[in-house]
Amino acid sequence: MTAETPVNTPNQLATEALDLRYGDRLVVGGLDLTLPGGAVTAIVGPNACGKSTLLRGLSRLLAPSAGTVTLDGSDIHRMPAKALALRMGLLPQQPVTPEAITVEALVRLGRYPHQRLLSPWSAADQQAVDEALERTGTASLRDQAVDRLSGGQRQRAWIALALAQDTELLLLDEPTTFLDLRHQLDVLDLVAELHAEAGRTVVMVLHDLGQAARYADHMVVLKDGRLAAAGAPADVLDAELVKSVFDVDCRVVPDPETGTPLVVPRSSAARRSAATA
Amino acid sequence: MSGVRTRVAVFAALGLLALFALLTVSLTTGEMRIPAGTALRALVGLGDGGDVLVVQQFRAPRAVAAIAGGAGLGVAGCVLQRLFRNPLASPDVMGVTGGASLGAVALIAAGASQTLIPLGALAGGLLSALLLGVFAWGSGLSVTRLVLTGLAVQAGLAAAVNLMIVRFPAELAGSALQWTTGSVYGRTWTEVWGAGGALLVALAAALVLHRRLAVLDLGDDSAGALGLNTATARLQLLVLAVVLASLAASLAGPVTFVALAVPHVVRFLTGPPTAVSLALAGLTGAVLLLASDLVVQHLLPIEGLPVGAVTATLGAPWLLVLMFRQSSPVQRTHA
Amino acid sequence: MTATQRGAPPTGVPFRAFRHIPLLLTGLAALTLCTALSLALGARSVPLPTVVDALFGDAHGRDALVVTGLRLPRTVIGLVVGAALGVAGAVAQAITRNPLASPTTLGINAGASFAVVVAIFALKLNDPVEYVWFAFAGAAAAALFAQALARRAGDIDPVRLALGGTVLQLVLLSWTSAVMLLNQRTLDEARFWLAGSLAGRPLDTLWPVLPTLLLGIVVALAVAPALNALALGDDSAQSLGVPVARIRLAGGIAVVLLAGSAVAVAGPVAFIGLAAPHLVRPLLGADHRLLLPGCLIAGPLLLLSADVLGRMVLRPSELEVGIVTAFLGAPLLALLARKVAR
Repeated sequence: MTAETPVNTPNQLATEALDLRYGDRLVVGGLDLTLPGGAVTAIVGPNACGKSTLLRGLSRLLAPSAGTVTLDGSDIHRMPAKALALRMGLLPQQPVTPEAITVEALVRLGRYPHQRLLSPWSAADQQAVDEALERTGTASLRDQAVDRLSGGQRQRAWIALALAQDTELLLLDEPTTFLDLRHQLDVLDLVAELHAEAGRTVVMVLHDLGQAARYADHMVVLKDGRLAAAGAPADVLDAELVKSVFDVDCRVVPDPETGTPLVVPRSSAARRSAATA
Repeated sequence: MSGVRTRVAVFAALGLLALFALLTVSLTTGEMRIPAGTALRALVGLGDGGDVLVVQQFRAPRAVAAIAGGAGLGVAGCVLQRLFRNPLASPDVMGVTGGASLGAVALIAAGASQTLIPLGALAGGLLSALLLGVFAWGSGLSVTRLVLTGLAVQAGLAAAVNLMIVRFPAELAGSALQWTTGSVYGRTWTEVWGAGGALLVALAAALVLHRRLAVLDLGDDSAGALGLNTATARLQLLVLAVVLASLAASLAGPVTFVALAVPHVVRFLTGPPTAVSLALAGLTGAVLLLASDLVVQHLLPIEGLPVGAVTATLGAPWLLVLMFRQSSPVQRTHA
Repeated sequence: MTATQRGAPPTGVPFRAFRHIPLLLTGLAALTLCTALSLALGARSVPLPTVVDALFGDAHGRDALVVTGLRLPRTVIGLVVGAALGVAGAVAQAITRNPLASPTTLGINAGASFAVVVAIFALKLNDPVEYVWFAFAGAAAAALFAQALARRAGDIDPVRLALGGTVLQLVLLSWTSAVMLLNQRTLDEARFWLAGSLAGRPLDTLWPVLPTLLLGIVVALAVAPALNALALGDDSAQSLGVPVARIRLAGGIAVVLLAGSAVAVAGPVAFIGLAAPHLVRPLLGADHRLLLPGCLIAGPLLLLSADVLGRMVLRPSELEVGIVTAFLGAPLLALLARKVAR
């Protein structure tokens, strides 16, 4: 499964026999996974398959009950929290926006791992914030309250926070939820741009298989907390996989725009006759 | 932003001005009127010996106690309300008020000397926080559990205070009740140096730790991803708030209203919370408590009213008016 | 295949009160036992047969006098006040949709306390019977003021209600202390009433508030079905055709009538209103058509047990019931914290 993934690129996240639990409930079990450095990886799977939990495990927010998560070979749960935060940023699925905070104040918090207890706000900090605002197209909104922005603008402000953190690795948990098509594409284009220009490693949980195939170099498919498939989207995504993981009869055709695989569900009549057959 | 900055600057300037004016008034007025210039000179030990004695030994410590106590309560309230994401959080919720009251009232009952009572209050406040920690530990310091447990600790301690007040002889009940309503009457330099100095350190710590508070505001996941150990940070800030409130209570008694109201007033007037607004909360608390104490001393026809009653009376209309002018903090969904 | 992801389907039985009849009967039995204990126990314990004889007028002497003259009024008042507080708590939690709300949140106890202390100070009253109307008026005024503060666009905003109620409570409590400190006599009279007690009140204390109590119970039971809809959230309730604002207003009035009458008779007694609904919910469920009758039993059960306990711990002296409930309520809240935060 992982035969063709490059092994020694920097910023490579890997898990070994990873078990993640909430209380007694095993959500992710026995996961062996390598996420190539310098690539965009999409994690997909049906609802409640453990996608978001895996992302929390990869980012140290959830301690594994067994197994390890390593970044370039060192166990992230043994790294100091700030040291890891200098290498890896995370955008949670539904981030908590502090009351009445402005866009710039929000983005400035991204500099937290770069600051010591008593160090003042530095020129480098301000530069990183300005760049992050510029990149995400939120510079003109810097004095506005985040909770008054539209969904798409708010999401970009949060991405700007993660950018100000200035990390090589970026984890995004369903960055397109609650956005309309236009804003979904804006966010994904921004991610692609970040990857293309700065060579950032991106790991994101996505819902839409077509978008995942379009924007990701590498795809991880989960089912019931276990690995169902991993590899380049073109190699992984086929009708058989969609049927076994999502329980949906479909055809996989080349995307007329990009040539990447596109999942087209069969008509309901066809699905019904397939079910009775 | 520039609008907010101007407002913050104006607010800070007015606050400092008010504080200085109130301080001057508190040094000059009393049974013996001393002109402002003479009083300020007497403060640094110049001039008539009698003036120096009155200003240095009686008026100054009382004023400083009110300023330090008010500042401590204002900042403690700010920290707690943000930490708990709850507009009602105050030292009450942590059981600090109840603990401080119980400590002080127990010493009053034991007939301890006036100077020991603040120590009793401090010990009681810290003890209640320890109690809270013991009960609420083990859940990664979940906010809901802390609030509920704090209310429980407070209820139990308040019941104990109430029991004492009911059981005491009337004379003792009076002084116990007086203390639990808050008062800076009869503070001496010994207490003010001790508690005030510790308060200053704690206030500085609050400003330093403000960055962690701001990161915690982003929720546990984002804060964790930024490299903040959320449980440790929350514990540090909690301990800090408890220490602030206990020290303030040892100086001024458990004046509940300051910690509840000041954060709201500052937020309504200067916008989203920052390190500067934390400092402003301290300033506002100091002004409110000092002003209330002046009202108690000089403007009321009746002697010996507790400062807590005046604080609430002066502060409540403000808070309610601000509450009304504010467009609803929680937008109702059905319009 | 996806069946495992769905919850258990609702069985769709609308109202199954009969299922709970054994439980309600057990509650009533416990309440009867408690009533008997309350009549029998105290500084001077009376054997149960003598209690029964005394109640039917067949016994005479000191024991009988204690039962009919002191314990009977006390027990009856305990039953009524407990029931009122229990139901008021359940309704208060429903209309604010907040499991921590209780009549105290609305400023009822603080309002009553302030009014009574002022009456003691200014009018030189010294008998709980004379306090009744002042207490009720104070409680009602405070609660209505708190609700008026929280009104917005014809409805009550729960966040404003909590904040405004707390501010009002703090102000009133500080005024109460201030008035008490004005003179020694006021302090001496008021501190016992403020602790909350069932003792030393003849049945005459109860009669004046009986109409408001009954009206409160009727209103509360009448809005019970609508309170269920309120629990779904304002939007869902509205779309089910429930007039949310009017129901919340009616519920608020019921709380004022019930808790105001209770505090008028017994003084501020904390925690019964908070605890009764939490005790009943795990047993009977969250349906207000069952919850309210359940609280009608659980409230007096709690109050009478606390009162009996208060008589037993310090014999021959006794502890005011308000202090007992506060001491017992504290661990209850701590337990609640564990449950809620899980």
